[in-house]
Amino acid sequence: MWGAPMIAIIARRLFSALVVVFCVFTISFLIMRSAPGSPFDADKALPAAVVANQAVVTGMAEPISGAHTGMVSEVRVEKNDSVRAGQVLWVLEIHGESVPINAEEDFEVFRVVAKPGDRLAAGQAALYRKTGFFRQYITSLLSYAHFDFGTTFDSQGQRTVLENIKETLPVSAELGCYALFIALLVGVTAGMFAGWKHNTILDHTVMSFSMLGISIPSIVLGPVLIFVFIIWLQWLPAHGGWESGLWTGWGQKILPSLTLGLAYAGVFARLTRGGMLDVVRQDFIRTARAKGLSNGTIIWRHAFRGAIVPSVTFLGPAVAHLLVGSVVVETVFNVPGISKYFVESALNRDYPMVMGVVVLYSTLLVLFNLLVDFAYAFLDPRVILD
Amino acid sequence: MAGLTLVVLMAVLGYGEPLIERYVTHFSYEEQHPEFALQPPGTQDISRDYSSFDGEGSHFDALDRNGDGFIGGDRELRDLYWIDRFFMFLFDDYDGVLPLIPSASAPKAVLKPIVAADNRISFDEFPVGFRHLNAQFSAEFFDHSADRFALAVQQDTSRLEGLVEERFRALGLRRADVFSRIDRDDDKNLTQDEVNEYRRCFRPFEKGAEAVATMDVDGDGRIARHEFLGAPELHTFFLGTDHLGRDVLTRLVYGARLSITIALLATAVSFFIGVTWGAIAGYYGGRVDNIMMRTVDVMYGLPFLFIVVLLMVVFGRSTINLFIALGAVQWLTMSRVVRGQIITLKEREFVEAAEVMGVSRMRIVFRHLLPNTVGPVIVYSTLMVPAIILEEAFLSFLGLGVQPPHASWGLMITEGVQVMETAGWLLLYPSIFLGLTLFSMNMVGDGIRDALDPQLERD
Repeated sequence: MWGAPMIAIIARRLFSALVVVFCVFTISFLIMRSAPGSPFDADKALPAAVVANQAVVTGMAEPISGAHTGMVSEVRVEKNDSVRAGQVLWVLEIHGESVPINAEEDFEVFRVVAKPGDRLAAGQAALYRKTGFFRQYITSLLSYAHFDFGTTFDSQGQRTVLENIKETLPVSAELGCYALFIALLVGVTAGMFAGWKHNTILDHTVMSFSMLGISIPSIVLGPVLIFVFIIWLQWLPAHGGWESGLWTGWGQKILPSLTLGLAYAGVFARLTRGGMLDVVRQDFIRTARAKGLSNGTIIWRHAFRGAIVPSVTFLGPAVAHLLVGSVVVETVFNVPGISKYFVESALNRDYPMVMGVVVLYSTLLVLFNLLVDFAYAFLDPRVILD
Repeated sequence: MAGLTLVVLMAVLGYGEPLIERYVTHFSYEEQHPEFALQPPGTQDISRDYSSFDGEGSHFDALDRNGDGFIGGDRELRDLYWIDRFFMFLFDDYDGVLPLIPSASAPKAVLKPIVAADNRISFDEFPVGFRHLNAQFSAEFFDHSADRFALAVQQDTSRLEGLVEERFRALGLRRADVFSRIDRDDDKNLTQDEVNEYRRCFRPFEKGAEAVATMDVDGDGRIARHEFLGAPELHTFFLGTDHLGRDVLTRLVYGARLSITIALLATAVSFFIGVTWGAIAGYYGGRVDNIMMRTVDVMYGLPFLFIVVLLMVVFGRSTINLFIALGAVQWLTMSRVVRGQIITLKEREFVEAAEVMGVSRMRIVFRHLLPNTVGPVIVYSTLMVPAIILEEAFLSFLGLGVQPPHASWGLMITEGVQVMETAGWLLLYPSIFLGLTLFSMNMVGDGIRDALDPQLERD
């Protein structure tokens, strides 16, 4: 199984994962850039040069400069003008002689930084043009290929996307891990017993609760948990807790993890129960019983491996949903995770940050799906990866 | 079975919303009662949009202030307006919390700090004259009354004060009199309900001449005794009010309509795309199938909620965009299900027969193959409806879904979360509605799956 063909399979899978990430990048780029409004709309207070500089850094604008040094006597274009090739952009005065500077091709003016009376050195930008859509796309794609995710608009270029992600991703990942742990522990255990004690009170109770877990959304469960444990029973700290947006101590971590985990516990319980029902009817379980093995040994040593196969299949989508679902939980509990960049940045048209988060999410998603496929093959040797 | 009943009930509630608004709750979903903001279930007020009258003729005498058998005329209407305004300030702003303007003639007892805001007015707290009322009211009333007197009187402040005080009493707002009339249960305390009960016949006159027009049948600008419909009836906020004083029950029912509509439309969108996509891929097979299904695989890799968020942010947060966005990301599984079905079906004899008879390919797909995939498609669609309701709630929670003043369950939960410490019912009822609906829809979906799929064991 782990020979040369396996390496080829892995390589092929990784390649298709890359294709998926590429598609995600392209689609989100398209959606973002076709949005009305620009991130620079609100920056009225900032000088044109600062805004232009940011735009250049993010590949949205390019400087236009002349080849000569001289005094600017006149500027003939304004912000957002459409310029045709050959049109006069500005006029330089060199040793008492007026030299018009012409546009080399058609473009749209982004910002004008030169004013009449300014001294302009050769190669110094007098104005900035908007970069074409396709050009922007290629530029950002190339920088992504070099693992350069750019700087955020919201911080005015002070912070890189990577810094923001590094700061918040561990928090989200921790939350996700706890939630997954709770979901698996509760769900798989409950499902195993429900399947073992098929059609008993225990079974029906577990199934009803799991359906409830699936049906109650986290936007309901979260606030209800806050109400019960923090406001009503006061078992957990309120101040310095969920209101402060901190992420320290189990007092703050337990409720978000529970909220996120319990919904998936329901799904895992149903899946495990289904798997268990298939397994317990099989001959090797009857053999184990006939040998006089204890119930515990049969359940955990023999049936377990078969019973969790459906759950493992669901792990991939579950991890993905945990990632996305955590947006709501992080909002409810005010957890300082990555989700704050999810909506806020999109609303602020902070393109680099949004792209960074989207690409990160989809990469994780694809990787987890890949891992799950391999785990699946490992658990059930009959499965052939293609 | 109970699940199905509940789903049907929700749908009926949702789609009967205009009728429910009109005949059951009597409040419209966007009608605001600011003075009743965040009141618990059971609070009563007069509905503005759906007012009804109790037909009690005895109120007529209280309103016909000059006893001429008609309600109308400038002076009478103005008097009624000020009486209504007095009651508004009396309870909504009074109760000793607001600063009183001291007056020389006032007995000291009234001015001493009055008992804490217990939402009741005792006889001691009840104002002796207009000067002991809320500062805004007394200033308004003073200015209004002063205009009525001759200029010479207006310059004599102390005389003017006396005249205004007299007018205040003439409006029938004498202390002991009014107090005993309002205090129906004789416990020497006025409660909100008692004030409302007494106040309601004056309420229409806050609109002045407009109030006359609604009852004035013969068009003479006055209400005669036989035209009088009685005082407006009080209606109960069965599930309390929200932060703008809107009726929670009405909004929940309205939210049911919106949520179910969005879910159904989004399901329809994804149904349409998914079925077509899956059917074509499955029937044509080969390279077409390969390309189409690879596309689906790639789209599975997209963080779909993220894409919806992006779509909502980019293309504006309207309800139409909402269901298109939700539907556009939900068709993937549907197309896989349909494709699988079609692939097994297309080897069957009836398809061969159709091909031999020269039926066009499109006709084979849509007339012969698709009707046979109905079972699984229905199952999947029923399970998709709750999923979409859930996502709509998520989006509304993040502020990207349904926008105020429209009501959706997700939005109401968001509003409830902000005030859950003081007004728990705002979180409780929307949560129950949403949770129960999703629960029963999932149950129904499961039930249909079990019923339609005989191979599946019925555990």
